[in-house]
Amino acid sequence: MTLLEFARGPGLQWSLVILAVGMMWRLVGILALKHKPDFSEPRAGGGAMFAGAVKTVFTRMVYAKPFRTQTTLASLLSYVFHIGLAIVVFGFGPHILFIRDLTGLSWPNLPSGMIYLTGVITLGALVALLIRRMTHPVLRLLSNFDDYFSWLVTVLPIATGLLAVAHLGARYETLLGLHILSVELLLVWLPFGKLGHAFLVFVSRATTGAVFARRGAAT
Amino acid sequence: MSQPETLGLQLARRGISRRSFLKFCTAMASAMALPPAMAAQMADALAKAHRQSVIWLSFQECTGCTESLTRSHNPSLESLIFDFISLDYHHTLQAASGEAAEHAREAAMAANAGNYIVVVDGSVPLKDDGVYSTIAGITNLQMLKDTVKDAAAVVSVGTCAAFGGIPKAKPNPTGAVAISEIVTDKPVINVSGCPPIPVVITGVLSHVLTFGSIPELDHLGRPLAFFGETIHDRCYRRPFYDRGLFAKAFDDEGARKGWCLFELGCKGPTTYNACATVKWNDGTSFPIESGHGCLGCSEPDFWDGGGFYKALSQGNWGTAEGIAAAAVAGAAIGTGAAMMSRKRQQSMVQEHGESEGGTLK
Amino acid sequence: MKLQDIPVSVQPTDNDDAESTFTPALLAEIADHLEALQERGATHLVDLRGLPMTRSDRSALIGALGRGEITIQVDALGRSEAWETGYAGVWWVEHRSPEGMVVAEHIEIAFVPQIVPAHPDDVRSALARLRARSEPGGAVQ
Repeated sequence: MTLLEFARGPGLQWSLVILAVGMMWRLVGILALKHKPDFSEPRAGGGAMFAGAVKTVFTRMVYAKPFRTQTTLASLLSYVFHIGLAIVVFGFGPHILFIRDLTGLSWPNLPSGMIYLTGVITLGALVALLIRRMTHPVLRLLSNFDDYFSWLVTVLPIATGLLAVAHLGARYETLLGLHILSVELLLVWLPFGKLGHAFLVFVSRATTGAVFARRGAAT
Repeated sequence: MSQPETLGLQLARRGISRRSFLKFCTAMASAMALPPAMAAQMADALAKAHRQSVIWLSFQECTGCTESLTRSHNPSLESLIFDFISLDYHHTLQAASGEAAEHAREAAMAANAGNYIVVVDGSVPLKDDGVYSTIAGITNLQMLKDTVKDAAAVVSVGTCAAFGGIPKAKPNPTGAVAISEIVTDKPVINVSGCPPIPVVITGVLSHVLTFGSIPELDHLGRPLAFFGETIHDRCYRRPFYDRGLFAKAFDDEGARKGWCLFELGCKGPTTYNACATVKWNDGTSFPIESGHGCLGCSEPDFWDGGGFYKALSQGNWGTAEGIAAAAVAGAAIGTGAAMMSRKRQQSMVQEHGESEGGTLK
Repeated sequence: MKLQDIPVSVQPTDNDDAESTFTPALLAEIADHLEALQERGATHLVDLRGLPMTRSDRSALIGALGRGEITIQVDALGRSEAWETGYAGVWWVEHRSPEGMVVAEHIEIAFVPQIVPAHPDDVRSALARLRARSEPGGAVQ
């Protein structure tokens, strides 16, 4: 079995299984927890709570004013790489095929040249953020293995993808195999580390939004 | 044959001139992407060479490789290779049969011990002592071992001989293996393809004849001159791939406009062969030019690659049921974890009585 | 529905409007080799099949080189033709198989294309045959 065959076959299958187990484990594990009862008089009903939940998912995308001056660069870079990742993952023809194969969903692809450029910019933003993490005294103190490993598994698919496109470093089938394997590593790690925010962010923001709306607080 | 005369003299008598040699070598050098000036040296070497004894063994195969060679683009030019070699044994092409045929093989082996080349097409079954394919009552395995013992080199022609091919495809009922798994002490050149491009077969044999050496090979034992680049890299539809223009179906707008066939399962990006440059059928076209993706026929285990129409970026990830089962399992673990946590909270409450912040339900 | 009614037309990929740099680059290379021929008598062959040449590149090259006054035809295992281009010492050589297929195509920078001159070994054997013929009682071969 070649590297590519393993990556497309058992590697992918097992990483998806681990992803599914891990995601459900964390989601159900959190949602089924016992919550503190809220005895305060509800200021708003169920409808407003739902609206608050949805609203907060979006309003929290904008950084709070007091921190803005300190975090402008970092938040800009974060936006660049998140949007860049989305463009690369959901805009590249071969990626859409991969997703269609998994989910049956499909949409038109973007020109490949644009994807390559976006990939390079995304990689640049991620490298800049790592440098910031390693040089910023407070951030450095706060960072643990999870932060660095999560950074690595995010960067690897972009780096190997760009190498595969440019045919640099090894034969294409090897590069493609490594690229798919790096994505599998990401999928396996996703539910268990800080990358879990990819799906948990919606849970936490919506919960906060709903609680705040119930109390009539601004979110 | 104590002092055989040179090929040049032999063929001159038959009206094949030195300029014909040069022309053959020029065509071969061009096909092998050798420096064109080398053709003159090759022609000189060929004229001074002696006829090379070749024994061609056909095992688990369909004769497509022989067909490919004998029906090459330019039969009168490329079949000249048959004038340069002494084809002492070949099932399909020889006039002799039965005992006489096997005697011819043994005689050639004895006369040219240490110098003859063995060409093999087809894989060799190993299961049940190799009974699934025999010739004259001899198993393929035995015949290969006997014949290769005194050979100078082995050329595996076709994907079956080179990598096992269709006989080795799942579930491989006969235990078929590639020649290189049996012959480990001799140089083996793999000329893969289903079938291989005729000029690739001819080119490799000419290289051995004229240079007296094995051409440069890749990690799968294939001559780099022909297998150095992927179909994708030399594909005339490559610009469409780069621009992200893909045919989505065999009869859509993109297919009519000749867009990239990646999404329709083309294996060009991972297939090393010369189809895109040498082409097939008198240089008419190659599969992608006819609107069908590359099957990857010159690569190991191409039959088991998950489907000819499955794009390379798609996985063989099993079934949706498997993933759903995993999700259910994950939910169960999550519920379990939450229950354990609730229990712990409960016992803490019981231990400490009611906490300040309120009761837990 | 007839076959010709099916609207299949593969659009050629090489009708790009962009000005190709192929011909100027190849002409410059040919000029370098021609200089080597003039100074040191060094001959050179450019294999046209090994070059990434589109149809428009090809016609541009043919147009740029032009055609001179010599055309040599060799009948050895099919027809080969060599013609001098508009530039002395630069030859276009085309080898065809007996079936008429082009099997190799070169630009050859030489005083005479290499397929043309007689090989010394052939001259030797020709001389031997001639001598045998002119000797009394020599057999006509």
